Amino acid sequence: MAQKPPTQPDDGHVAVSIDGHETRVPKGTLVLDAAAGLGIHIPIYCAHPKMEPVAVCRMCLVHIERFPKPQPACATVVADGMAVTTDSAEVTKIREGMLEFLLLNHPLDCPVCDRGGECDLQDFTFRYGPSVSRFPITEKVHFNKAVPLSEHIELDQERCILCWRCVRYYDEITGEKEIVLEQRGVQTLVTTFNEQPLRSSFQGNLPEVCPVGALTHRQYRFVSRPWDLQRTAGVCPECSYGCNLNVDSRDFEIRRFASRDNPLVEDMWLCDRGRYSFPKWNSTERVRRPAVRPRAGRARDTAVGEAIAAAANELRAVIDAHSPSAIGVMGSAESTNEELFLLQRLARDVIGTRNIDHQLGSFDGITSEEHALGIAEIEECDALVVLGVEPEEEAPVLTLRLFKAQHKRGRRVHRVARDADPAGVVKAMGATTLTGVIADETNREHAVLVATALARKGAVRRMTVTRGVNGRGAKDLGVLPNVLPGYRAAPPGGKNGREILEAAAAGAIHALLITGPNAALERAGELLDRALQRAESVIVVETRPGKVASAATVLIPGHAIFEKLGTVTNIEGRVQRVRPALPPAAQTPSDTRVLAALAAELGAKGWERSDPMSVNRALREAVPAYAEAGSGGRALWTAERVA
Amino acid sequence: MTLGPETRAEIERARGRYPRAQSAILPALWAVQHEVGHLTPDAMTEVASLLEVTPSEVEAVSTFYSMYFQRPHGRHEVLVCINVSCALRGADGIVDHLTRTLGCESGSTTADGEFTWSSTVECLGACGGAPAMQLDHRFEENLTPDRVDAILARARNGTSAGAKRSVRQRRDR
Amino acid sequence: MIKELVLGLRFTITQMLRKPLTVQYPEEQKPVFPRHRGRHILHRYDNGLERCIGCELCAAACPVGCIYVLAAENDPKNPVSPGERYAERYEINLMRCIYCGYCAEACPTEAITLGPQYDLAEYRRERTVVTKAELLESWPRFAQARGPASPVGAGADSTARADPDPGISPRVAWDAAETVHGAPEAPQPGDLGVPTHVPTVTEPESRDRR
Repeated sequence: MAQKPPTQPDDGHVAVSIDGHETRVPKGTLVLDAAAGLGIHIPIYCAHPKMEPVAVCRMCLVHIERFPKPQPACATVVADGMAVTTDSAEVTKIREGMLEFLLLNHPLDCPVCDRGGECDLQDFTFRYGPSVSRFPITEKVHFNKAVPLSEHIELDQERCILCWRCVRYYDEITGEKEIVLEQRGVQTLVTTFNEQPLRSSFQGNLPEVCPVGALTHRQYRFVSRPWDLQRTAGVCPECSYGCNLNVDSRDFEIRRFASRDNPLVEDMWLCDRGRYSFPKWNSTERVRRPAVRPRAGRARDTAVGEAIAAAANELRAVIDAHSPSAIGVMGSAESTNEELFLLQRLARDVIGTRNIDHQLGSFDGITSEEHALGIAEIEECDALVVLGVEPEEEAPVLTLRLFKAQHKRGRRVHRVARDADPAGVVKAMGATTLTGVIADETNREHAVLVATALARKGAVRRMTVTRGVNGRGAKDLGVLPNVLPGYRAAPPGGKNGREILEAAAAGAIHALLITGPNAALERAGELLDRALQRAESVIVVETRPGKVASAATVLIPGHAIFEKLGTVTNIEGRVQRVRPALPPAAQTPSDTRVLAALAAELGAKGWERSDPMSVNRALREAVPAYAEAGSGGRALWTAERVA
Repeated sequence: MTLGPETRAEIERARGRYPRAQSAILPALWAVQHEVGHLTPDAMTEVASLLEVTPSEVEAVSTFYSMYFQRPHGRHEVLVCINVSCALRGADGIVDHLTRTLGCESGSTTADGEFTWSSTVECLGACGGAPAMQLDHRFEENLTPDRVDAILARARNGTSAGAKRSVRQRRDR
Repeated sequence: MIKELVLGLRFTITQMLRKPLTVQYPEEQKPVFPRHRGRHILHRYDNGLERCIGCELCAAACPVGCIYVLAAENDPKNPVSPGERYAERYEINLMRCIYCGYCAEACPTEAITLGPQYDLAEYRRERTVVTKAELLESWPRFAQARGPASPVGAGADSTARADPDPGISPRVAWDAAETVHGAPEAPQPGDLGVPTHVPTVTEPESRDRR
């Protein structure tokens, strides 16, 4: 008999004893979570931390005192004085029985299964299961193997243990309900309607949701075993949402992206665009050797030091012949904060030009206010206004956060046209105390109008979906003509990206310093061609061969995002690290050191410490918000900090 | 393919009867099966759009219940009980006889499209008249091979209630 | 005295008349014991299909990490092994192998065993990485190829994986800077122009392999 625990003041907690260990947990905690808090492991298949309990797999059955029958730990809420046993002979027997049952028709093809090595069924059988089965292996019921559900997902119906996780994922997380269980009894199988391929843009999460090897990535099919993979914590480079992921590489190639749960950002769900973008980082289409290709003279490959000296000479020649403002500097939203910080210092302090930007559009009147809404705060807003389809196309995982806000938290989500009439939006809104306005960065002006109109109803916070993995960092760190790092006003007269290219094409700007890869720049098309042809010198630090690299008069190979150390800032200002997962394709120093060496060649002092880490320290000193954000925190801008 | 206006109206009526649209899937599928004879993917898609659920949910329901047909069925449905009482009274012989006379295995349809028969049903609850079978929702009891032949011949000549008619009768009651 | 001489020479003469024990290696090789653990053999089924399914359990069991396996999916019409998966590449670095037999122990299909061959000296280091073509049991339908070893995998030196910024161990340096206040300066990186990636004999020029 358990002793009745001493009565304690009601602080919203209850006392519970698990395997004789006493603990106090908040009311409403599941037995499963209370046990996890004590370090007691309860095997689960159907339970998932991001989904509602269903208790269909019966793997987590535990004995609870005074309950006549074993109870599922994943669906039982703790009560005061509850005494739970997870290590009794009864529970052991239940687990052995459940595992023997789950393995009844499981094909036991672990050696060829992609999940082998990271499979819950394998692990729990090893830990809790019976060592032998009473059922002959020759009498299993067989289903189809290797059924392609879409171009990304493969289904092995034999391996399925019918835990419902994939069905619930589509039901609770994306709301698309594409996968269902059909038939019944032993014939039950996971499938789609009429065997149609999956259409969701979030299918890549299915293999991670699946506790066994039933749903697997087709791109990862037989590619590697989990113990071969080198895992590096990284950030998804496809958009600026900043989804955390694990970069799994083998033989110097990225083999898959796996989710790395950060509840504040992507909440462990990745979009297919990001998840399946990894092959391009293995591409061998790379700039590999530094080259000097003067407009008059012979092009040749050089050592990197020589290329940097040549670049400095060309820049100095332009400064001497014209003025520093005859130089245009283009950063990139795909560089790290450290590189961008150095680049703008190089441009403003060493070269002395005000012409610096990271993309083509105008960011006049940019303030930190347009980035005030955090991703997790979306769930706290009473109402949300999404202007146009671009925000969700640009950052797909935003859709899942909006779905969660709408369906789990009961928030109102209004998807309106890109240029919706502000008065109409206010009218449709109803009463609200906190409204979130989400717009794309190309739609800034209109978002201001809508936000101003909504401000009469209550507080408004804005989120601007930036372009490029570090589009936000480029703005925070002043890689813009009109602001310095930290949104301080820059001296007027700087040209923005388009103006730089136009001036270069017109012959007013004589030298371009471009760090790439810059997708925004490449979209300039014919204007970019003219600018690159007309400029006397084009100094390029670039990873990919292309228009910009081939027009360079001095070309220095850059390091791609998975080959270097640094930080990137996501849409909500979260400063997150990127780490090298691959060896650099080019045998050159990292981009920060190239920029610092260029500055040193131009005669600047104090640029010796130029490894990404030292630059990061300098960056934190210069931008206090980044010092407070640290690594993984949000850079928050207050009014006095901006001023 | 589109469903007839009558069927659509019936699905709409079913939708109004339940607080959740999912609940109306069962009566909606009965209406479809009554009109089409079996449940086609097109019909299920249409049901889904009428009830504002996803087609996959409709298909999940339709495959769970064995009396919704995924494939075209014969004009008559024969279900032979093989449970204990019937087995003791010679159900195996009836099954063998049906396999021979109908010329097809249990679970399939005769070549002329007259009969779809199955011997995998469990107890029909007609143990008092074992061995028993069910022809188009009607029990036929105390079977012998000769009686089976007579019953099938009667059904073939159209003197037995058709499957569709009997479904309608049950609903109208 | 004669007696002693004869007695003394008797041993010499009997030894002179004995057959020599010396084996004319390598022309002549002594048979080994049936369970000798020499160079590995990859076996086939009687129908010629490879036993190996590319599961990499041998590589996982290997205490020295000398086995490299890269799996691929079988073409159902023209399978290499039974089932869905086969080993596209199978390489063993014989210089590293300690001939412990754990690979054979771990193999679920009894595809790999250690065979009788023990003359494994080579003039070139690269040749001591044996490929699947060399390891496989011969089969009449397939000609035995002797292809070059893979540049990555078993032949590559894992310590040659480049540190992108020499002088900094990224994780250590970052963590130190973040968690310890007033931490000493991070290690000073090397000068500009120092190659960051030092290739080894067996490492490829680039990462392009597939």
